[in-house]
Amino acid sequence: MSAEFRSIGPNSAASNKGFTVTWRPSGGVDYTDAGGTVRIDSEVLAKPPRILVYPKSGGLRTMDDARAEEILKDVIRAVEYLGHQVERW
Amino acid sequence: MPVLAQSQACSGCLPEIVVTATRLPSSSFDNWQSFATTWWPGYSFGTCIYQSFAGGGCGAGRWALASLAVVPLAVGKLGAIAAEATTTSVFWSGPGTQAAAESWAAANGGSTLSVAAGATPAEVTAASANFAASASGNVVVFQNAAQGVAVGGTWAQTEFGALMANPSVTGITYNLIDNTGATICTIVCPK
Repeated sequence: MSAEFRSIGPNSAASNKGFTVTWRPSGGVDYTDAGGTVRIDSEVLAKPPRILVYPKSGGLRTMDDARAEEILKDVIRAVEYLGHQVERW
Repeated sequence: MPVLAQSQACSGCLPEIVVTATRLPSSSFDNWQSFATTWWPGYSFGTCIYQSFAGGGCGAGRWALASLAVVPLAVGKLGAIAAEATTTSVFWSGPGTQAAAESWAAANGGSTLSVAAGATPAEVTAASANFAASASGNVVVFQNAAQGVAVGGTWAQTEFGALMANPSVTGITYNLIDNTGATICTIVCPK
């Protein structure tokens, strides 16, 4: 059980900190908070099957480093809550 | 204009065109597609064609330039022809490449792997293998020139091997993008 997250749909979790994260199996992770949605690039690593997220990708590229890092950590925590192994590039 | 050979007549569609020429005018190298439709009026991409079989009988299909790749042009030109003719499956690996691949596929009639929203990473890996194994003709892949390819990713671990083992795949076109998503180089590799 997670004190922070709850599942809100397939591969989608909501945090009690005010954001939601949805991993798209076809590629990408969506992070949504009151400010909008940021797409972060991801792909699947094969052996063992796990998810690779790209820090310098999508909407994170135009953010300041501190905010991008904060979002990336939120994303990784949420995707792990959904039951998937995660690596960062 | 290449010499053509047409086999026995079948009804319902236009006859298949079989290219037997060994050489094309050099001026046609860079515009093969438009030359082909000029040389063979009535044919365009998707035209219903028939193919007659040696033992009798007919099969129907859709006209494409894929079969013209037998013309022994320079290797690079062969790959370019195949890319124009039969591209359907589009792959990607690396940051920024998914968007580039999906954009290219939408503009060129290709398709990228689509997986159910509730799939697991293991199911994505399996779907990737199937996607590559069912591909045909020339396939396209987008990779990030600046940041590289994930060596543990499905492209490197699953898809590339499946494509190379797939006899229906005739080649791979590599599109290298920069960090803005722009394609900076295209490399055509016939199998």
